[in-house]
Amino acid sequence: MTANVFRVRWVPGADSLLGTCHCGAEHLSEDPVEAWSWLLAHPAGHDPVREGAPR
Amino acid sequence: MAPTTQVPRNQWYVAAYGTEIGTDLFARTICGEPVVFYRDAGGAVVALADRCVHRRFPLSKSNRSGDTIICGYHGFTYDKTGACVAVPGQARVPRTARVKSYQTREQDSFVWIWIGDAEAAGTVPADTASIPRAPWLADPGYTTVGGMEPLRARHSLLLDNLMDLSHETYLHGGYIGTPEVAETPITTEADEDAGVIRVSRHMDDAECPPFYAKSTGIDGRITRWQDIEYFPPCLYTLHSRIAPAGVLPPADGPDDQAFHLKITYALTPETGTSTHDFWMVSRDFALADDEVSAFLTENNREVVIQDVVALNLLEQILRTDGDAYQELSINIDTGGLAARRLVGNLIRKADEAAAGRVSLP
Repeated sequence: MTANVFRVRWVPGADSLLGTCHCGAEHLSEDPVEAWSWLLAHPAGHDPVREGAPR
Repeated sequence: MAPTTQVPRNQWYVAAYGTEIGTDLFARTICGEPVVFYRDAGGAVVALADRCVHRRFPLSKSNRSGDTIICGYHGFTYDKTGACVAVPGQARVPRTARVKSYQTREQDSFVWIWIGDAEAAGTVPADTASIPRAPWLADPGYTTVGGMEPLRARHSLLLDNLMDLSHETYLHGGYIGTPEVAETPITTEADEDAGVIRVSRHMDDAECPPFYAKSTGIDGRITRWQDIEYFPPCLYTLHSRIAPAGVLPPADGPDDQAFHLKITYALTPETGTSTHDFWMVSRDFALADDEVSAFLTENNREVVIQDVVALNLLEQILRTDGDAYQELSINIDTGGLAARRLVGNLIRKADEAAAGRVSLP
């Protein structure tokens, strides 16, 4: 496993897709096309997730 | 927009199983390029353009003499480097009389072929280190069965099919499909440095489909893991773990309470709209059991044929309907979309390399 990984997890029990960028930023989506578009736009809109911050 | 009929050049592709190529001349078209294969006296694979430079007669329909091919039409004779070494009736062989010679590599039971320009690989010859590995295919710890089905559909359709296994529930019911496959969420990873797409679907408590019930002997529900790795453009592996429901890999030691199968595909474009569909099933259990081998061969071939029939139909529809429609993608397509993107990047890279060469003075 290398560090430069984009991950999209289908949230169990929901229809949502949680995208996680290699920078740590996360994004919830309802559409895989939109999920990949957001990930690949790194760093645009990829503010790192702060621990305990609401999603 | 329809799945592309473009195929990436400047890539390694599986041309054949090593066992397919022997002393006889063997023809196969790869990425639109007709190629003739044979083994030379030393056993090395030779791959040449399958067209005589004289009048385009297929060399695969010609004759071998030692390590040369003598064209079956007028006798132009080619050595294993593709150089023409004799022509009929005259002593002088034209300097341009040569057919293209392809770089090949035998590895993991396959014959790989480089399609493109060796310079584009950054090295001449092309770098064999970039060929993805499937060591289980030549590992005595696994028994492998396999085959190859001609697919009259584009590479991108087979890729879509393999990257989204939820179709197992509907297209392969009674073989490998159960309701849980389509119902279970997946995790998709695009590893940009390794150039690989991974899709995981872990079913903790699933019905055991006949394919696995009969081959493993498990009676009852199962823990079924599907972990896909796709190395664009050609090599795909589904790492399948089957165990009685609730049996997970131990924290330490071998995972010997589970059955492991590696379902390997090589997706090699024949043309823009046809594909060589190489398939293999490797297992780490019942290694010497011929009945299990025969069962897995017959049943997996049936599953592949079910895909071939569906994709051939889809190819016809895409050709009839054209590009004027908008695809709809949902969660199950997350892996397929990621794979398409990586293949698209390879196509773009090859196009840029070609454009760069054309623009040179």
